[in-house]
Amino acid sequence: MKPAAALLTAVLLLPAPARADDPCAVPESVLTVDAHLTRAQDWLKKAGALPILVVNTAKPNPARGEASYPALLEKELAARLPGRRVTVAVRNLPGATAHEMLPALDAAVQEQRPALVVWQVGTMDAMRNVGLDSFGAALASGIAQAHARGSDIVIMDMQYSLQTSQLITFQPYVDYVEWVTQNNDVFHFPRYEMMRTWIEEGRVTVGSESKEDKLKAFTFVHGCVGRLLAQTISAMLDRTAENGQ
Amino acid sequence: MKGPEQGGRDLRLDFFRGLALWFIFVNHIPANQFAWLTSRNYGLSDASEVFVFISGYTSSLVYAKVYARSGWGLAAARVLDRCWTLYLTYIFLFIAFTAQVAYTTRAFDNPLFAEEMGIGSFFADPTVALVQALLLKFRPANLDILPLYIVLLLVVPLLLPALVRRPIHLLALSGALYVLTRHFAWNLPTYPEGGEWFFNPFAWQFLFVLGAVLQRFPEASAALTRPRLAVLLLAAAYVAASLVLALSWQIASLGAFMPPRLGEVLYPISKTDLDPLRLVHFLALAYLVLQVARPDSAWLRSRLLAPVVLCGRQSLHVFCLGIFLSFAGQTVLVQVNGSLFAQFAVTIIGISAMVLTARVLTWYQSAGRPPRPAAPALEDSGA
Repeated sequence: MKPAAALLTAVLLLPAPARADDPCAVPESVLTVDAHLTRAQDWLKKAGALPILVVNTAKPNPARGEASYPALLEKELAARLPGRRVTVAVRNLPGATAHEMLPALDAAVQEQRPALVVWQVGTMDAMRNVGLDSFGAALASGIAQAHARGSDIVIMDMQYSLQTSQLITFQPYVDYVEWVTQNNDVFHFPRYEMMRTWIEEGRVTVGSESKEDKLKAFTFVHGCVGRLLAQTISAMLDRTAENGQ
Repeated sequence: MKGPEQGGRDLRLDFFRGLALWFIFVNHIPANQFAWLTSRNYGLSDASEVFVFISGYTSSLVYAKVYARSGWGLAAARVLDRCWTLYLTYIFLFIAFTAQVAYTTRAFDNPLFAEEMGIGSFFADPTVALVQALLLKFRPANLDILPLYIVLLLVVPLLLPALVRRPIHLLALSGALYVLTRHFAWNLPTYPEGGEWFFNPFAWQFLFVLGAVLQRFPEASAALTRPRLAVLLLAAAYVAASLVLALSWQIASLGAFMPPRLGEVLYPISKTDLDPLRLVHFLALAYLVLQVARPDSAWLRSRLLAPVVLCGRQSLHVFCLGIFLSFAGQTVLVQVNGSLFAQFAVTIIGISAMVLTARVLTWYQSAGRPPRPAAPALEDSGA
């Protein structure tokens, strides 16, 4: 997509961030930019491009591809980095735990050489009650693998809803993601807490039966996730650039 | 059981167990803001430690007496009788739970969750959904303390002979198992593959046995909890440090003051494997609390706290009821109304139901029974 078109789309779809009435906005206690993207910033400087790889557990519906967060991330980031080539590739590993994702994650990183990996992880681990220690160990190895191949990595945690959280114990896994990412100086994208904020403040409703409402929820959550992810990635790139000077 | 003093019953056991049951009920409704009132937000350990420790203590109190008087056979049968009651209650909870799951899983039908979790199709077919629930693939979140309770109770008959004859050896063995478990990361598996128990029974047994063994040495226990300035200061310092640490997780502005290195050294403070930091916190807290909670403390007999004591006395039934109510309350908050008032109402109604049940049970157990001067402890709920 051409930058101008991307910019236009972004402006039309999702207005400027950080406004008080922004439906996606979350408090700083939920989302704080606290890491750097040294490798991605290098890449951007040298190649003028930002190839991103999203590795997730989704089994996407192609009909909704445009409304899903990887597509939106590409548009949003392209709009924020005019003149740079932003591409987002997706590797779907449905039903995989963190540990099971490791080989495919490494292979994909080796093959595609992304500047940045967005690793959405933990959903299956929580559903299957995988031991927290082994979950944490798998996270740490994934982070080390990506770094060893010269890519930055950010970790995206699980989705939140009261209904799913009633049946699946997510919180300890979310806490573990926070702990492991802090220890490795890697950014934790707190999707779980963000969705909790949106749902608790009534900005999105997920319990409804109607098809229309379900689609609305999907569009809202993916739209906001894509936008906030783009926002934080560009903020981290700026931070890194400033520190580098 | 007419007067609380009868039979030299230690009201502290009932009170703190009752309080733990209330906390467990309130904590297990994730959507409930009133969970802020409970102890887990103000320190490293929570109501689970209190519950497991007191369960060990009272198991020893009740079953060691039966064992000494009537032999191993009867004591083992009494324990199994209790387990059977627990199991029946569990089956009942399970059915109620399955119905609630079927109701709740409609959310998984949403592409937002179905595409990422890959479970939408399971629930298109109710038979499969039921089997998934039966296999405990989807357990109600936070209710894992029930399997721990069953397993610990089931091993009591095996522990009894050692508990009565060689309690110190038993404690040493239990401690060794705890240390080895933490070192080798032993745990029991869950279905499907790769999962493990949230409350690791190999680790948590230590607290249970510790309670049981301390019960065998009343003088030593009393000596251990005697006020000593140095110990008081140490315990208070540890509890205060835990308070600051626990608050720093909740309050971002306070968390900013925490040196990151500290986190790297301390975390993760594993609940699954009963992290020593939690264990020490529980012991320090117990030491401090026991300074104001003496067996003859008048406040334990106050009318205001009588409902708590009552719940602690009927702990098995109240515990199971609390589990059921917390899931039911959660469903109400999720599906019907989640307002602050609804949270308050669910909390109050739930606790009232627990108190009422305890009251009816106490009445039923004492009604129509000839007054017995001796052995009142047999009426204790045992674990």
